[in-house]
Amino acid sequence: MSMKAGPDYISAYRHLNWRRSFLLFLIAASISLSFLGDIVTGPAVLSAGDLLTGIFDGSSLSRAESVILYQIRLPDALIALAVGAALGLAGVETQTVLNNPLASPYTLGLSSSAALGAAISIVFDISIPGVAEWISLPFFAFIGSLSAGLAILLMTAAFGGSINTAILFGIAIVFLSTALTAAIQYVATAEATQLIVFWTIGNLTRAGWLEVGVVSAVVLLVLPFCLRDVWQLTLLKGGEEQASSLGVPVKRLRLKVILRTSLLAAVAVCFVGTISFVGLVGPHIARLLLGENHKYLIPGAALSGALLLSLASIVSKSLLPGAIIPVGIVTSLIGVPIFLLLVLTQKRAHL
Amino acid sequence: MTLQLKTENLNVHLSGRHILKDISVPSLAAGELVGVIGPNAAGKSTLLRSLAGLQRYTGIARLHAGAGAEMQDIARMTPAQRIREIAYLPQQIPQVSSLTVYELLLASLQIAGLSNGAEKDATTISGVLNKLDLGEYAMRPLSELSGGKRQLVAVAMVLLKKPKVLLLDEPTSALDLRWQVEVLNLTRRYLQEHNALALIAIHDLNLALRQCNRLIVLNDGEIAADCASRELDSEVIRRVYGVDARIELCSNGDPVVLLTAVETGASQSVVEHMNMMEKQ
Repeated sequence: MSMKAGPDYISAYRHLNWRRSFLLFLIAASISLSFLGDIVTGPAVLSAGDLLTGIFDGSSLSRAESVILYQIRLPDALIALAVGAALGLAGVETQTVLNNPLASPYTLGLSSSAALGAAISIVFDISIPGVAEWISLPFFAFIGSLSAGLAILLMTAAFGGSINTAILFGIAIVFLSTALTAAIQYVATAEATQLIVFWTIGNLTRAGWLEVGVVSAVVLLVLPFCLRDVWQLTLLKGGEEQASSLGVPVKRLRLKVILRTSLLAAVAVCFVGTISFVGLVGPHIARLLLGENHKYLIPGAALSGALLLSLASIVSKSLLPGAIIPVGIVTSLIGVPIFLLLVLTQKRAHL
Repeated sequence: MTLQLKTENLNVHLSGRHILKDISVPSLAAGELVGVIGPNAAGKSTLLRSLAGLQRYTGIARLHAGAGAEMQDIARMTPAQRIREIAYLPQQIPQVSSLTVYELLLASLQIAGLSNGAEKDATTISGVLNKLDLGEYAMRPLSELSGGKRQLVAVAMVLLKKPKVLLLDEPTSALDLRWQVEVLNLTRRYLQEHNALALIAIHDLNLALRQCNRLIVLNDGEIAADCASRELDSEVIRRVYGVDARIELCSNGDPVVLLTAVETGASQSVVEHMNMMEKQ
């Protein structure tokens, strides 16, 4: 029998947390590197050194270089970080409250329903009078993703069963909203169809500074609410019954998380389209490195998501010389094998 | 007035079924370890969940939390009050995850509103972990612990809050012999030290007879017996479980349940045969 006193635990726990802070710092440092790499890659051949000095001193660039840097490379690279963080955050929260390692905005159908919501508003020309498109479009996307999220909560509540079935309902929603989006394209104008196609495959290249601002603002707005619930989320990892007996309002927590993730998924989809697997894999990387204490896991998942999408952006620009493959294709291609790996390892750890 | 818990005509309906029927438990007091026994689906868990405020009921369930407190209906207590006074250990053992034992307990303290700064929290947690001999597992993830150890962690989560009422739903189901006894001993000691009371749903009749001072036998949502452990009638066991059993005292004076036959057609005919032999 080994007796340990309080101070032993304090030092062990401090040590563990110190290690986690260091790992968070490492991820952040990798993000800076990846961000710089993202800026210097692209179809136009520009010297990395010129671009990097250009970030700090705009006057050193030619007019063309300055347009490429400030209108294309910087906003694209920044929105990759913002959307990646949004998806990582949404992924980790849904995985915890639905107690399912395969949950994410994409696998739960939140992303595809957000795209459907946005498509409906464009094709049927629904708008809110006096409100600019950069607000109304995310709003309709949010209506779409929120309906999907609430439908999943209602179905899991009504049909009882384990919360694991949530993912199956999510897949049904993906099928439904994909089919409806395809149907809408028949009545859409050529211009609208082009937009719809853009939403179905994630693409960073349409984003400008406004979009960067909106997505970043939503992430920064939602993050404090997530951080306020870290202990509830952490306790929920011990099991739903245990958590509710200790006073975690599990149903309310689930509802709050669905609201937050629907919002995150909606803005992400509006401005860059559907991006698969970042919201699924990002949290798993964070969990592997940092453990389940959500005080560290939540920021970690946001950072991992940002890093993943930033790296995917570099890959999307370097695969074919002179061309940019939509980043959604890259994340899907890389994501599928990782997804299968997750399914197989989770099965072993008695899912 | 000291700690007191009682129910009057407690009823629970769950999706159209009448799970608990007019359960009246007169006045449980501090120090009592009450075993709730009965066959599967008798309503044991539902009774404990109702008393924990996790299950909607009709009728009366009142708690007097001890000196300075008032008699209160459990359903009307604020969640914060209820969580401070009553701790419920669910039947499900904590699930496998990479969460460490220490962090799970720390989160429990935080959520229960009992966190008191890193140092005091660590002292509280180490006290409970040492009692359950879990010290060496503190910094390990739950996924590396056996089912039995995780059940002990759940017990630790309950004791951590220092509640007045413990509601334990099969706390020994995954434990080996030594820890079954150990957890019940620990519970009894806790009740004495903290002037608390406990209701414990349990399947092992011998463990219940020996450790509990009072037994509530539930059958099909009704109270079949409510008595001191030593007064449990083997007739009740026969009726409720449908088995032929005797209660005898073993050499050190503790009561033991002996199963003599399961009431099936075959054993019935043996009994009839014996009766005929007697008459002849």
